[in-house]
Amino acid sequence: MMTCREFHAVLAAYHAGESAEAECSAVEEHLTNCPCCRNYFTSFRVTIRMSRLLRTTDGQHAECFERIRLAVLTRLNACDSATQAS
Amino acid sequence: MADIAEPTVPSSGADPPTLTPECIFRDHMPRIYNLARRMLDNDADAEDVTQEVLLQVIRKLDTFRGEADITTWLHRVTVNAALAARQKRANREKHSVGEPTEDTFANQLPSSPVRAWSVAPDESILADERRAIIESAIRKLPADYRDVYVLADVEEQPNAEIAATLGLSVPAVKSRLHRARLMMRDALAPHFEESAL
Repeated sequence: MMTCREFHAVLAAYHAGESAEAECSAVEEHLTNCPCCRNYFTSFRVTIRMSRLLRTTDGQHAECFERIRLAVLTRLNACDSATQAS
Repeated sequence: MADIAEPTVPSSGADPPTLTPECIFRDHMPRIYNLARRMLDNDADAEDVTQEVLLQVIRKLDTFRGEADITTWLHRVTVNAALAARQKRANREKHSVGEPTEDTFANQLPSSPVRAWSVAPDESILADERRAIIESAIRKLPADYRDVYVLADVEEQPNAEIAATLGLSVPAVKSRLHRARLMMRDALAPHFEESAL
């Protein structure tokens, strides 16, 4: 029977799908019987999933993006002008 | 508005994609800026880095073969520019002490019973309040862990790509990523545990 400490030791490999079949079975049995580790594992996965959602709501910096765009275009134009002058 | 030439990619087959500065601004600037912002935790520095990266990419537009080519390149250039900006800032501030060592979080067990979270495992929308909590937790990660976390779990880059970009081995990326995830989970727990609401 896997202990909580053993579960935490293999958590990364199990989550990454890198555990061998026997280890997967032991983890799943432990998660069935241990509410603490089950809650921990669920919250671990939710943390990652919520982080992945961040990017879907990015892009709300319209003023900043316009400022950057104009600065880049100005610098490109300055370079072009300097090249033409020389 | 500024007037600049818009280079195109030389034709190498049917319907070659045309990359123009405006395409780069529209399709890539938000991602460059947000990656830099999360790595640097400083909007002004992120703005500077974004400018530099965009200048580099627009000057090299005619060397790219398409979107996939440019996306990979942009990630690397943005990460390198952000790391350089951070180094410059660290040289000014001399402050990076007290960051966890590689073993700080190894096999650490929770010290108290773990409660369930009030977030549904399949929830697919991130409300503003939750977004702010997660962004804040990312900002508080030690820089080396934050870099890997942002690239893996926000940008969804593969470990091998992260390793190449940051000059780390794949096992080192995996190790940092796992520790970063544990830190993130622990930072979010007080906000999302059922009894906390």
